[in-house]
Amino acid sequence: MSRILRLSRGAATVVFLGLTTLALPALGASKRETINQFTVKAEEFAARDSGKIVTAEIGMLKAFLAEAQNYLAQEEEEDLALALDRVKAVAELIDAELARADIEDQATKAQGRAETKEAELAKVNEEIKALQKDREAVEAGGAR
Amino acid sequence: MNRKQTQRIVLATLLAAALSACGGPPRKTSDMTDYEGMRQDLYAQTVEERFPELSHEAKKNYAKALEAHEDGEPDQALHFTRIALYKWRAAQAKSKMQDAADSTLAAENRLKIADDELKDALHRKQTAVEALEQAKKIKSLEGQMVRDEKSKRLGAVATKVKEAVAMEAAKYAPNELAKAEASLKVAQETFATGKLKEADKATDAANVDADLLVAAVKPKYDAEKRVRDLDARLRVLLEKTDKGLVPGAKGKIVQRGFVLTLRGTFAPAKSEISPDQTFAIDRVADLAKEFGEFKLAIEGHTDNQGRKDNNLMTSQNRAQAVLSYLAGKGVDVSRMSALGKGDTEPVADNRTKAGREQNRRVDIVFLR
Repeated sequence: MSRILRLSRGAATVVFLGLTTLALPALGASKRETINQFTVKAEEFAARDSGKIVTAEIGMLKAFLAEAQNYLAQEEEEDLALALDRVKAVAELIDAELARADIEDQATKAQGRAETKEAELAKVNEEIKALQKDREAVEAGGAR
Repeated sequence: MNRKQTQRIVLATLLAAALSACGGPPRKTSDMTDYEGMRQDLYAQTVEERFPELSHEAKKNYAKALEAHEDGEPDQALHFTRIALYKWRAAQAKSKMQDAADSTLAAENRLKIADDELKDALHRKQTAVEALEQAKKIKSLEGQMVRDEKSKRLGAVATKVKEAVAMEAAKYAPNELAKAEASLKVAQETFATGKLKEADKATDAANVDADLLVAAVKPKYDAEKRVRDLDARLRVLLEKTDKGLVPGAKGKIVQRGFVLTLRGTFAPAKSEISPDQTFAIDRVADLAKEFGEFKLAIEGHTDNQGRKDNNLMTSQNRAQAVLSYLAGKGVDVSRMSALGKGDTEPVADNRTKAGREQNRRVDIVFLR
């Protein structure tokens, strides 16, 4: 199985190299654009990550982008494609983690608000009980 | 150790070395172990159900990683393992994001419920505050009413004592007065402390003492007052007759009251009022009605001429004639009595004509 894959991968490489020889400038521009887009995204992620929860992943993203840049410069298309796959995968992870953190923060805040309100409600209910008790005491007390 | 044993150990070692050289499955990298660990935790099932595509991509990439690993291509294996890990962690993060969104929704729902309940509770609290204020107000009013009622009772007792003092209690019942005043003072002082139940008892005691005081004073005071009032009225009566209100009549105050003496009312030996004397009897009728508080004793008198029994009868008839006349003028009959005394109560000497004229008379006595 792996041999068949290796053979087909070899054939694909031959085809790919042939095609890239023909269309290298266009493909290179597209990949560079991708690298640039993710470079910008990496900065955006860093800016969003105020809680430093994806520092390691952003580091990985930058490393993968550097690799991709290197493969692009060396015109190593296959490695470039794999590096960009890693870039996209880790970027998707970072985006999801940041979004999760945001929503969890919202959830925590919402829970906090609910708890505050519930505490306020409990306090008012206690006050009502105390007032009712006071009233009963007043009503029960006879004139001196 | 004998030779055979040594040979066995050497063989076993060689076999182990040979097996090792043939190569079992290569050892998995730590990334692979991490990935597999993640896929086995309890939460993985939920992630797969929620994000089947990402989950599938992760699986696919990990399958490639395993294949590359088995083929001895560590770089490829590392690449696909990382892709698989990133995809799976992204799926996990998205699933947790969904949990958080659900949690936010639940929290917002709780917040809304709590907010609604709080509004209701604040309204109920306001109601409870108002009810408490109302209860306090009512209790205060009740207390005031009770205090007012008790104050009124105490005031009534004080009035009784005051009235007794005005009725000269110091003269008629000094001991009862001292006791009532002391009891009243105790009740007033107890009331001032605000101890209403004790004040009530003290007021009851003061009331009893005040009643005893009044009972001791009033009859004596009333009796004396009545005498004084009657005396005053009799003096007024005397003043009026002295001014000649009843022509020919003489009035005087005596022990039993006021005596108005009429003379010449009857012709000799007659029992009918002389027509020219009715004017005087009319004035007597006016006085009798004006001084309605007195009973009237009408007494006839004669001189000593003639038989005694005749004189007695004549005097009786004359007294009765005056009574009838006065009744005819509107004087209440029940206030009047008529009595003939004949010649038994002369006021002058019967041996002289002037004396006998003095003795022939009708006395109208306004009795005390």
